[in-house]
Amino acid sequence: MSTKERLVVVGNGMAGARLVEEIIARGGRDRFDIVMFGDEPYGNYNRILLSNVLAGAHDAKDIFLNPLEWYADNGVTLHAGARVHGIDRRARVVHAADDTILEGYDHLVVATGSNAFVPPLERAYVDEGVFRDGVFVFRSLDDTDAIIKYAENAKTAAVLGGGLLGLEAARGLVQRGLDVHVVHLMKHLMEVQLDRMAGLILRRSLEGMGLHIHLEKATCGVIGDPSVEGLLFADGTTLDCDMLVISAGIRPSTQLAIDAGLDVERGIVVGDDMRTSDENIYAVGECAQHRGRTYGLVAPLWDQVKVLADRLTSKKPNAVYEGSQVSTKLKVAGVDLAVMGSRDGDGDDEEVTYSEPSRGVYKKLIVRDGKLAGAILLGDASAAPDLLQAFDRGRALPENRSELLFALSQDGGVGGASLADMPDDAQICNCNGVTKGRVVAAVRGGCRTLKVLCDTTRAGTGCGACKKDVQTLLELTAGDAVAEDPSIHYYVPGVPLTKPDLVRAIRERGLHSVSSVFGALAGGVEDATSKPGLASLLKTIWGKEYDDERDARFINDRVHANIQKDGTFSVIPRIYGGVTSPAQLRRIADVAEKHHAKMVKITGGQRIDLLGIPKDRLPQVWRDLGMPSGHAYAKSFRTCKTCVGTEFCRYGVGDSTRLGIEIEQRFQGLESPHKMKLATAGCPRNCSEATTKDVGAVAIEGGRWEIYVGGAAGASVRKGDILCVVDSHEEVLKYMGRFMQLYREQAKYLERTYGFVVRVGIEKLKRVLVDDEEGICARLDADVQAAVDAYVDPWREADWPATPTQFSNALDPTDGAPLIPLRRASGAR
Amino acid sequence: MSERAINLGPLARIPEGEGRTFDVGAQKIAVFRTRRGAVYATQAECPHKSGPLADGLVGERAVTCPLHGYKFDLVSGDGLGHACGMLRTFPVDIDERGDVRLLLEE
Amino acid sequence: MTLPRALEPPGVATHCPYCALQCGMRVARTEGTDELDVRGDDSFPVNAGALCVKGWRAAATLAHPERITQPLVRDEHGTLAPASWDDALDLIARRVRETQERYGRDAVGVFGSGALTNEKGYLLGKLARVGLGTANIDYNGRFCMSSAATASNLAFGLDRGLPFPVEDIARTEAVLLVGANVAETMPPMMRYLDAMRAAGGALVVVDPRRTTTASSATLHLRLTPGSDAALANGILHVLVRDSMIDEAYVDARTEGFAKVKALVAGYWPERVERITGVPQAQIIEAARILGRARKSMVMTARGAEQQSQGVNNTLAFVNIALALGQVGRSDAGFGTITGQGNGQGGREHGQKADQLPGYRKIDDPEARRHVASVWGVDPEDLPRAGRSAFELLSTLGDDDGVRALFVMGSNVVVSAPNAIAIEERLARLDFLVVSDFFLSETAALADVVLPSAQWAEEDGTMTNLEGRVIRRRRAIDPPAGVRTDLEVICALASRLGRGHLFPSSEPETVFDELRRATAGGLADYSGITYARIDAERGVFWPCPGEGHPGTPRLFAERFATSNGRARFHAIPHRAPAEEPDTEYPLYLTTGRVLAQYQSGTQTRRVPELAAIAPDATAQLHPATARRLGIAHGDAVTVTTRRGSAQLKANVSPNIREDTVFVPFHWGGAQSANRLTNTALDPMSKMPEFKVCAARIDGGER
Repeated sequence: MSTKERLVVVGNGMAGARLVEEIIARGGRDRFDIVMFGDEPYGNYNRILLSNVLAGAHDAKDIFLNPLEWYADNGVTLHAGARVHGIDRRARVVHAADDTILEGYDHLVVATGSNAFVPPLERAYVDEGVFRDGVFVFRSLDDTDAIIKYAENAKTAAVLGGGLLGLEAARGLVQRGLDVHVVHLMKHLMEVQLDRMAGLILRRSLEGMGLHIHLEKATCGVIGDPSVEGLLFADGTTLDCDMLVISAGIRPSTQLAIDAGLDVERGIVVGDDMRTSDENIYAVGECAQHRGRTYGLVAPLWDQVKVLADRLTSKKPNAVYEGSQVSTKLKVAGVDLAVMGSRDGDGDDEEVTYSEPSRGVYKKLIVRDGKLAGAILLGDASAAPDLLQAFDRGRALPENRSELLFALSQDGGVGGASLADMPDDAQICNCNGVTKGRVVAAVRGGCRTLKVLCDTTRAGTGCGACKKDVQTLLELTAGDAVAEDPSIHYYVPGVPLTKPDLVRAIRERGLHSVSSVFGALAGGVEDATSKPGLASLLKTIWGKEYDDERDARFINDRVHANIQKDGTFSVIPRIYGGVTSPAQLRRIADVAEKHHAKMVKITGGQRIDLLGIPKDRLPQVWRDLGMPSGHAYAKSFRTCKTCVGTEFCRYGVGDSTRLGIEIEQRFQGLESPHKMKLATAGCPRNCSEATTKDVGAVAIEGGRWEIYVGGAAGASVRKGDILCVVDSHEEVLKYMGRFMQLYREQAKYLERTYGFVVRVGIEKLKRVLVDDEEGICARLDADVQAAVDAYVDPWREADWPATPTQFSNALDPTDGAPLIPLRRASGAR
Repeated sequence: MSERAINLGPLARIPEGEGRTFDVGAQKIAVFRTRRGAVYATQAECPHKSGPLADGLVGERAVTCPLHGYKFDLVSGDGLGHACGMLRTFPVDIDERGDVRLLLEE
Repeated sequence: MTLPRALEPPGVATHCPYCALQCGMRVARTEGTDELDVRGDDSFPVNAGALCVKGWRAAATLAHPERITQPLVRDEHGTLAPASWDDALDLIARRVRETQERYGRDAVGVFGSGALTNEKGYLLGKLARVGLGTANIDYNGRFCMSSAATASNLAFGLDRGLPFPVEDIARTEAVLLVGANVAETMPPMMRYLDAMRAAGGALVVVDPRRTTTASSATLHLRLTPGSDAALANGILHVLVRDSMIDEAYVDARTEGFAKVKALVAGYWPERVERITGVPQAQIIEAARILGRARKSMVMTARGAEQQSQGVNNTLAFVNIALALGQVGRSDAGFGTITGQGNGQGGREHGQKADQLPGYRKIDDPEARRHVASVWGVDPEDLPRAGRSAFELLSTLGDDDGVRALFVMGSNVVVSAPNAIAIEERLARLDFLVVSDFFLSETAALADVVLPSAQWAEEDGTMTNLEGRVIRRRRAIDPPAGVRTDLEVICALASRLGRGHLFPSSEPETVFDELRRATAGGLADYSGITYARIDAERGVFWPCPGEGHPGTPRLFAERFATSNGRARFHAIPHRAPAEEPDTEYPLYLTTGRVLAQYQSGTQTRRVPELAAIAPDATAQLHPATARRLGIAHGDAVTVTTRRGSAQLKANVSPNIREDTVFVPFHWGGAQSANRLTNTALDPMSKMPEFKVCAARIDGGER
């Protein structure tokens, strides 16, 4: 017979099991024989994660905090699946499983948690406590499994209750592909945590994501027999649905305590020592009522069990629980939400609010004595981590409250930090600890060459990895004054001028052709590798007046197709926005067959590629296609990839397909230092990967578009920077055009936008392109317009070749077969 | 005494600053015409990966292969800035009619 | 001062005197001058010629005007006056005898260092055990590597900083770097991370500050100081949730995962965000980066380790590497980045209170027998485990504590936590001997100061963070009047009548004895010879025989645990010993800056380095500064329950609003360790350097 005291815990949930853990952690096993009762036939699992399980995001087997072995390992007797139905306080015995189990106690802890609240609904039950087929509550692992199984054959679900739990359930069902209706009795969603404004905005956002919200709807009955087919409302209206999940809140489960004659109000009444009206019986968790409050969140439960564990084990015999501050954070169908503390301030409180309904963003702080008393963050919870900690720790808040509303200090992604934007104390050379400031100072101090700069600052003299950055800083600071090894600054190797100088010279001397540039600026010496760079630049500068010499073009641009390793070409017709038609597809298929395309492939840019076409067949292929060139071969605007947008997608908030087509029709073939791949996404899910394109547009709530620039997903991967957020397709076209023109003018030849954006710095770009700091926006707009106007579909050359032999594979000598052998040239060795 | 040669037809068939491939019986020859009026002939395929040199970019005395950018001297056939073989080059001239002539063994 | 012996170019191949990377150097005298020319050694794989600013300037401490070149003994006026070696050593021997007769053998203590060569650390340990016969020896590595060491032993059964060569880092696909600022503390290591990034890999840095390293990362998790384990559990939670666990590996090579899995089920992102302050999106992103990489590495350093939960924090991150099945795989695994030059070797050869050479436990009879036989003494005569570093220092001067202390190569007044208390403790000693090459803050308090030779003036071996045993070579003779620590130890031993046990002060001879002593131990050096090190550019331990190739990569087949399996440990989040409150509203964390090293005894004396980082600063966030009315450059006072430090405000957005950072290279009123908390990790005895509660006052220009 053990001399230990007997500790019996009724309830094996978030509170009960946690309590036993805490007691064991405090060495309680030496003092107690611990016996536990749990309604459910398992160990203890993390109830918080049930909505993840419902959403299919978390495997049920992975949410167990205390698997059955745990109890055995820790010498805890667990009666799993045994319902306690009575407490004999005089005999200090707990009766369970129809009196088949009796356990005596010295200390009893009631942690029975809570039950789902089910409002009176006609025909919801088919029998005492037995729901009609298709009606569920969402409270336990079994409930969740049942809902998941039933949902497999359901299309439409109604969730009764627009509170926290209801929306969690709704989110789960949406993730499972159901059409979900949330029916709520109150004026706005989550009225317990949210004020009216937040509730309204949340509703809009959720509707934007395909949920149906019905407010101020009193549900009075269930329609359908034997299984649910719909809901009947007090106002006589009805709603069709294949299943009903009742999530209208929870009620402390107190029956056991009431029967035992303990003081019970809303919950089992406990004092600061967690003791009930019986000095040997304690209550913790959702079933307990402390200082008039009951809690439904996990944090307070764990605060309570810590106190009780401290007392029972005499670690801190006088520990007291003084109530908890509640906060919660959840994601409903992609909407971030964090709420903490009071919902509304009382008279003297300072209320700070920020509201941007179009984006579904609403933020509200309640400040009391310089500390955070409550907050609502909706649509953008990025500031939540700082705020939650300020709230939990009662930290003093900065005077400038706006710092709290926006997460200034929590940007984790640092990859794209540009040299131009770096603070002066940023370290450039790690080996020698040289800061950007010192390098810049040295350049200003007269170091105009990389070598002198490195020698002076010692930057780059260690492992040398930072030389590139030092070079860039030199350029940024000294501009054209950079001296040493000038050739690295030449726009093209064959003409000894930096891009700015070259542009100036070309403009001043009115050089309209590549050969004239060589003639005037390179002593007439034509450098093969310099030709395309110059051609691209001249085209950018002169637009229509550019004197186009074909030999300056790379072969691809001479025959408007992409040369392959075997000397054949690939043909990619323009398919605006990747939207095609059966007829078009049929035609492409016919052409592919007729010309024996060696391969037909869908490209990464959502286009169709016919590979293995000999040069001399190109014109006929184009004629047969009767479609414009897709420019898949050129250093120019390539394609604008799109997603399904609003027309069909459940989530789309912007018509990305139409916008993509508009973009492509406007900018097709626009020459640039390197290729430009674009994309438009209809919602932040970004299915078309617009954030990693050279230029991309992503639709956000309220018909607005985020414009990303400098993204990349090739050899190097980079998330684009947001240039600006605009609210119309016209605006998108305007700012994209502006950016592309600046890139055309200022980027080095073969410098992709991601290199360009990092080099110049997104902040600078914003100032130039959005704030028009340099007053050039109008000019940029005009120039890009001119370039657009100058566009001609190059495939028209099928019928108007630039030269007679433009598409010849090989020419024949005019007279007969040659006399072998040929003699080798004198020059040859 | 006149050399024996093959007439490759009017120079005009080769646009200024470009090249063209010619089928000369069994073999292919690339002929280039620079903007300064010089004409050169070499083997048609790049020794690197048999790229069509006639489709390359032509500069002063040099051609760049369109596939991987290897550069060759059009007179000597030497590789420029790389070590992947050299080109066979052939003597060519322009006759009085303005035709390109590929000169043959005596 | 002139350097006695000229060198023939290209100079002598040796290694940097500073951090554990131990970059290869070539040291030569510039023709016709006394200037020493130091350059990176291209042929040493670790740094391949690169050095950092400290390395470039390493020679500056050699011919330095403040160098001590003769013994100093405190005279009747209480001032340190020059004395002869004989007088100094005789005095030490006499006081040691007196102290031990009066208070017992253990009243004499020895305090070593992770900067000492293997030979010195080994012989110092031997001096304590068989020369002085005291149990009380420990070293400053307790303040550095002990948490990582304990954790590695628990998880893998073996403690070697990195179980792989640094080159492997370049070939992995994702690195989780926890509490390490390598860009500033060991810059040449960045090349490997950069190469990894260049090859498409991702770097995730965990640090309360946006350090140079953090700002070069793919993702920076700016956690709340002291919340490391919660963050690790949160990342593991997501890995489990998203089925990114290598079940096969976990089943085949580990034990204890079930408990960990159940534990982390309670660390869902929202909760972890609340504890750590790291946005849940970033926690998930970090997990994805690691989970999707085929090869990944997790590396911790002092940020996570120098806490009262240091061992647990480290184990929590070990769990991630194990769950991903990375440990023992090529170009992957778990490592911890050693700090001091010989922090690795320094903890293997008997400087620790509970250890004997070869990483043997002093309470293991077999170990005692083996070492005693090598030393030629009776196992029974070997002392038992003594007090760990901080416990030793905090009982100085007590009747049952150490009353005479011998400090070698350590500046405890600056480097130990709660420095003020330590200073008081040192004052209560009957007798303090310090061996150093400058009059460090600690030496200034000594009764006897012994001038010792420096890196370029001595031979010996070091073991770098990879477990690579390398050779430090004598490039020049020490200044006249200066002796090597080995010579001092032997001289002292003979004066104590134990000379026969210390026959030689020749490094190679001592090393050969070390090899025998470590034979059969965990850190087995028996197969390593000076000749092999020269021929192979370093040899990785364990190397149990001269025929054995050494072990660059550990755990490929089995772990060093009893059953060969790595062990998971379920680590619940526990708050740090001290958290901010209304009185001390900020977190204080400490660390290093690029141009300074450890207690600054060397680097503060190098003008070029002092110029880069002249004063001790307190880094705080602009919002915090504004609230307190502090401007950049203001003189501020940082105060904790232990004391105050006078610092210069460094206002920077690169730190959390709730945190202040103070580098620990300075002494006196600028000493960060006047502030730090002495709460110890129960397992490693590591003090909580990295987090405590603080207050900032001031704001005078």
